[in-house]
Amino acid sequence: MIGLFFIHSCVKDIPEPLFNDGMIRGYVRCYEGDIPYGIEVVSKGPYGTKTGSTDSTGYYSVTGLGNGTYELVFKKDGYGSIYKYGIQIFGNDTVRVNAMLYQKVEVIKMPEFIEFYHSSSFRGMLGNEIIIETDTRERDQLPSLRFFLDTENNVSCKNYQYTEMGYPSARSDIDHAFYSVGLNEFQNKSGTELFLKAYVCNGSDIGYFDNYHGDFVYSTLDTKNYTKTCSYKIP
Amino acid sequence: MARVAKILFHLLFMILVLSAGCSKEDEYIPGLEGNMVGYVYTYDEYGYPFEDHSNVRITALGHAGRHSVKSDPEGRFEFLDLPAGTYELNFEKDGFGTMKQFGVKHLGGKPTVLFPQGYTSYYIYAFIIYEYITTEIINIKIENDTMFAEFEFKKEDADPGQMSLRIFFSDVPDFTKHTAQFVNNYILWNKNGKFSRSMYYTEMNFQPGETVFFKACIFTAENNFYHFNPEFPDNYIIVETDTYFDYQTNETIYPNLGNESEVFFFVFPE
Repeated sequence: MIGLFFIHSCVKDIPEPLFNDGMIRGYVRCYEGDIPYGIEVVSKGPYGTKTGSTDSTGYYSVTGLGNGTYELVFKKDGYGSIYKYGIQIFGNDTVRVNAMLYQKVEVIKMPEFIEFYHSSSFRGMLGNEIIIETDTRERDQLPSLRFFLDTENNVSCKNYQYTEMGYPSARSDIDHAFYSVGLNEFQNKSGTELFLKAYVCNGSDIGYFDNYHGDFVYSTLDTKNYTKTCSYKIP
Repeated sequence: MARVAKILFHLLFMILVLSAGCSKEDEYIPGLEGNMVGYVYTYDEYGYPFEDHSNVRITALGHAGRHSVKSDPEGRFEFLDLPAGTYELNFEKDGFGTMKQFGVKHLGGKPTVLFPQGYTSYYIYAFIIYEYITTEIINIKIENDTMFAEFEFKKEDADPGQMSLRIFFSDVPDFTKHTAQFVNNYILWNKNGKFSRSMYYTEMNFQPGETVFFKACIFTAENNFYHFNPEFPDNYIIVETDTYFDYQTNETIYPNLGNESEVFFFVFPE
């Protein structure tokens, strides 16, 4: 009894909102051009959770919101979820928040990396790229991979110095299909040993800055499908 | 009987303690509480970022008093359970100019993220603090539509790609920063250790042939804001705030503005 009284006494009162007719609205697009119907939009705020859904043109609205700061999640099966933070509703405001969803990638088989080259070894290849030959002959069977690079061998999608998308390619003078990974933005020196780990990710997913956690987020990154950590010495 | 009285006494005592402990929170009702998150990056006096942005003290001044937190190595900071209100934020670190931000609105509920309205999530927003200026201005010449400057660098490894000067112009030799008739910022580019830039006179309201006096202060402007963090793809832009407007003195504050140089002069061209 005393315990219940104690809990009741010290639970912080959530006040009644001064305004309760705020609205968050906007539109959601699917990068691949799919009809953006039925995307769930969940708002989390000081007075609980409310949910909206997009119509066939991608428009949504979440109404009846009290004053305060909100977070939004946009989600649909088969797509990466997008999070938005710090959405402020002062009074009976209407705030617009838009989003773009990218399809997740289905994986048939994760490739093995069998050889590493530098792009300068091949005629017609320009730039500063690592060419990563796989154990797969058909490039259509390779998923798009996002590569994470570091000079330490504990590289992962959470711990890295540099990231770049790797796109499956093929050419006649390399036996198997391969990935090319650009290093142009990476400050590296000849002889440096790099460690790489790649995760399945939609090749069009440009990511976004999660301004609450301070991380760069790729919504379609598949943290369960990744390659072994490999090393490569810059020639 | 004595046992019942003892239980009642304990119960009464707990009620008194609990009511005293919770009454302070009532002051803020009907306001909400919530976290406030932002980013602060530290740069050296030449405009290059430090790898470690930790230990910047961020103080939020508001109706509920002073609240302070420190940044982590990534420059992120987070106030916990800050009462709703409008705040002044101060960003301080020993050896760095103090940055301020006024009128920060915090509504409570889910975290406030310090991010300017109108920017999308393709931008990274941060407050910037710069090291104090140690470099000294030795000479500034304005000749033939070109400005030349010589500096004395106090740090052995100094290698600035550019130097930024805030220059105050006047038609009288004894003037102050506040009585200057024209003020402008100039970036001088380093070419083999020689700092220079072109001059444009169209905005200056001086007469041809008139002697114009000027003095300058070094300040830091961004040197390398793009791509300094290779974790972020190249199409992401860091939006920074490194100056603030002081409503009391009615001027823009450059938090690490260096000392004033001596007074130089040139003849305003035809």
